[in-house]
Amino acid sequence: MAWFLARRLAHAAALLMAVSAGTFALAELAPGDYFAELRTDPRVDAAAVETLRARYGLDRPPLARYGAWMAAAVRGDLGVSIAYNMPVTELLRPRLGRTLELAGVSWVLSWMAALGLAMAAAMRPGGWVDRGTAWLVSALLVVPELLLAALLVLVAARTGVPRLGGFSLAVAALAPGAAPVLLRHARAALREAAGAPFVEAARARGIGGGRLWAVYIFPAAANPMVSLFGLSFAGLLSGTLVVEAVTGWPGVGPLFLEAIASRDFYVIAAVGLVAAALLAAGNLAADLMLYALDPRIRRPR
Amino acid sequence: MADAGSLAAVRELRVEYPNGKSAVDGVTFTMRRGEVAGLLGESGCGKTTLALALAGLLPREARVSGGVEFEGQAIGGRSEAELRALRGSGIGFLFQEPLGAFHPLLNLRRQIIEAVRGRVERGGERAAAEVALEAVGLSAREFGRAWPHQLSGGQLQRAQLAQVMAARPKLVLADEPTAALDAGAEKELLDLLIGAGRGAGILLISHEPELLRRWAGRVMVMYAGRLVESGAAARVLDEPRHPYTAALLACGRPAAEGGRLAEIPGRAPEGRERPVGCAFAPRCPRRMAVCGEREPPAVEGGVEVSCWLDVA
Repeated sequence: MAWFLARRLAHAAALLMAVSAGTFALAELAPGDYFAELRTDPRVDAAAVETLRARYGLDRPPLARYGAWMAAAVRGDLGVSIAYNMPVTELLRPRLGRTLELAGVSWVLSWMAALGLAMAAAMRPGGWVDRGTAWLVSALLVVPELLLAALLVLVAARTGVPRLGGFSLAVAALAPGAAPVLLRHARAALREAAGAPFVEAARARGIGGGRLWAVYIFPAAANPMVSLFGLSFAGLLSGTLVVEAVTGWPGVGPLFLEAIASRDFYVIAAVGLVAAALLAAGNLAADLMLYALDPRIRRPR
Repeated sequence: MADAGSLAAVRELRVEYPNGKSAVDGVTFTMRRGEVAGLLGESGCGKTTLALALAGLLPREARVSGGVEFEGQAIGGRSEAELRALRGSGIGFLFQEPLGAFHPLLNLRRQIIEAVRGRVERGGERAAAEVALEAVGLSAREFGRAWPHQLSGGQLQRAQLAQVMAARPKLVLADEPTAALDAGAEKELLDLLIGAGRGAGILLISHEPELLRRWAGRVMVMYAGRLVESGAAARVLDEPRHPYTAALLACGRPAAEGGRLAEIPGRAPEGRERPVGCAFAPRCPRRMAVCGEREPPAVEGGVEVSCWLDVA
């Protein structure tokens, strides 16, 4: 167990390092910085701009800045937002809470819908639920979340349903965006499990009906789905960025887009790091669940 | 019809798959209570399909004609619920692959409990499972909570036997149960199967004549979906009358010089390519003109050999 956990943690740490370096490099490669526009203004003294850049450490070489930022990040300091002139952690905390709330609710709803429909579809392959969901999945897959969100906002505005606030609109755009992929995977996993030789063997022992599904097929299909838990949450998080901006939900999304536009450097880097941390945490949780579920991982011989 | 000793009867059974492949092509035989009958044939001859048909386990797309009866009642007309009750306590199925027969995530005791649920007194499932494990020489304390991947092939196959026997079947279909095992484990398993199965009829399916000589009282030889020879094991295997049986037995013995194993020239026909007349005729060393024209009489009732040589 200790060895398993240590390996998974090392894996997570490596992922964090790689993603943070990647985000940092991308932000660095983008032309200009927060003060780029100021510099073209003839009324502003070039020396004053340089003083400002130095104040936020932007004059130092990128590698040195990355090192200093990571060293601080380990202690929980993610740098300072130039636009808001306040620590990034303080800026991020309330917004991250709201984003997690949105992504979490959408995640639970999309899994519930996907699992329920996948079960119904897999138990009668070719039946009307199976065919209906296949159509629905194909239809939803071609509609981007952004378009769905925009349509929902339009409908809400036209019909003037004031109680449909930003949150429910955002959920209504996110969950149907995430569910189709989950449904497809869940159905495939269930069908594969239903065709496994041990299910045929169970049938030969006179085990059938609900018990066969509950005791044999569903637990066998759960394994491949667990690995999707973490990944699907990360997918939802990236979806929240644009959906929040369209539906006006004050999460990390609007802040992040704004930071990219104005090149608020440390905000961009911090959001990348937090997103990577959440992905790593999701993967770790999935690994631990697999460890608990599968004796072949827990007790290899 | 069904006399008191008859346990299961197969009559003119034909099974065809949608791809046109005919797996069983008119087979008739009877299993008696408590007998050990061997079914001998190469892979692809229809042995497994025949066993699946007996257990009512054929895939839905298989086209079946003819009849399969168990204890005087047809299997074909039964509902899914009736079949479920029949499987396990009526007909037990021992599969070839030990690892494939078990759920990878459930421990052995739990899987035996699931198999005896509703077949033993309520509340007695766990005890029944442990007794069954002990009966095949697996300590319930040590192996009851083990997962399939922790056992060797031989142990696992014994566990499968425990699972089958725990439901107290009247007929056991053992489909190449030792094909994945070494010689020691094979003897151990078959000793247990024949011993534990005392009272149950056993259909032992194999491609190895020597295995059936040792364990089966009666042997039926199958070729291209039909029975070509049937009779007491000693008679069929020592004095084979069908050229296919003779060729199959020759394959098992190293030729006198050179030590190379003999093999039957050509290959068995598949699906629609069945030749007119006797299916074995194209490969038969003793072929006559009539063999390519008309089918020899089928093995059933008093007829032991389906061959024109035998008719003369």
